[in-house]
Amino acid sequence: MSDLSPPEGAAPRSPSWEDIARDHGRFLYTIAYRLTGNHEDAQDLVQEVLLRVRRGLATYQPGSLEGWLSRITTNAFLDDVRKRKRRPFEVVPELPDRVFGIDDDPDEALQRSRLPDHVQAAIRSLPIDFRTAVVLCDVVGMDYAEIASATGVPVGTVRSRLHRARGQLRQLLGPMRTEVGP
Amino acid sequence: MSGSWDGTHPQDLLAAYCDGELGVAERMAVAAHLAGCRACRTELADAIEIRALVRSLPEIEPPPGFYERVLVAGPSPRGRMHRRARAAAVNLVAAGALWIGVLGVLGVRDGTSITPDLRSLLGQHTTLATVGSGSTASVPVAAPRSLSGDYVLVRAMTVEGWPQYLYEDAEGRTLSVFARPGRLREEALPATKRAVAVNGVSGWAVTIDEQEVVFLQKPGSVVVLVGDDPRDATADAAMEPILERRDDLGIVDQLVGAGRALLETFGLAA
Repeated sequence: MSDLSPPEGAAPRSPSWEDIARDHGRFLYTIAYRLTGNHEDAQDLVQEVLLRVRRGLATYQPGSLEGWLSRITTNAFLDDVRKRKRRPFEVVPELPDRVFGIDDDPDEALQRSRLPDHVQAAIRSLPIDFRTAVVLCDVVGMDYAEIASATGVPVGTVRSRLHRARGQLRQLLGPMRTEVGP
Repeated sequence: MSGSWDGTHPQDLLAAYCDGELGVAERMAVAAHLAGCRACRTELADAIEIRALVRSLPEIEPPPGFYERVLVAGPSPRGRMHRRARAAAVNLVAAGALWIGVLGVLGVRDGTSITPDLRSLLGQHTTLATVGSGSTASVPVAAPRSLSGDYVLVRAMTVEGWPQYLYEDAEGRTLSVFARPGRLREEALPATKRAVAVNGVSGWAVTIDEQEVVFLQKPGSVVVLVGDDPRDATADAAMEPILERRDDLGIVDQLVGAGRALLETFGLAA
């Protein structure tokens, strides 16, 4: 993660929303997309983050700019989820956007299930708390203490969520091929 | 952190173990357990592979011009509402376009003549939207997880062996999608039906009990969409593809053209 380091002896500079849009737009968009799972919501989320920065609702602390952006994005995302109170998914007939025939070669099916679109679809099907933990850990690269701080839960909860999230992803994406010995 | 053990296995300590988030004592305890537990070694190996898959996901490019527009106009809090209002008007047609693709993959071909029962369709839509529960056991096709217009798949079931999928948006609007092999008996539809066209595929829209029902004829199969969008907006949207492509014609001519295209689909054109 990159730093927004001030000149030596100067106070840390708070980035403007324009700075973020110009210099960190792709990073911000990636996080927003991985959290929301679609481009429309990702664009809304990015705009909400930029608005919060413009209104001074998020105070920059010296350190990782991307970590700071990730926290704002997570908060905005979770706020929106709470507002929308969307019903949870009840049925997932297959991984989305694909139709697998019954004669599919298992190896080919396995390879397809590893494609980014399928991994993303599996992430999107996770419960919000699990999805957020996975994105912050494995997409942003936060450690557990940072995730705990960003999501307002104890580190033990982060552990549990990540463990269960990966277990659900394994179920969604099919068996892994790892050999572990006797 | 001993509470993370279930008495036998280290449970969620495995995630922290593979992420290097354990202290020395916990790490040694987990390592000692792993040495003698094949199940936990398998679980750990799977977790590592899953983590690698997620970490290998590429960065996402924003849509072209997105940040340029934001930098000119400023970030907009109304983006979602504006897009939703527009999307609500086009979602039936957009959903139809997606489902045409799905059925294309399915490759259903059947000469069955389909006489739609509007009341049954509405009833089936209402049932699934209110009290129904889905079953994956015999749902024959995979459904798009979401549809344009902010619709998310919330339920799935089969009706007479064919799929019905229910989508819902954040405002609680619902949309059912039915798919059947066969050909639509368009003469069985009410006289108030309106011609629509989606990506070159023709169909009919009917308003009944303030619900929109759109029938789309794919060669060999029929897609039916039932939703509770504002009917005027849906009707406008249903005409939109024709208006866009045939702006040299008057509206009456465009509707006649759409009807003719549907007849040609059925092989009934003079």
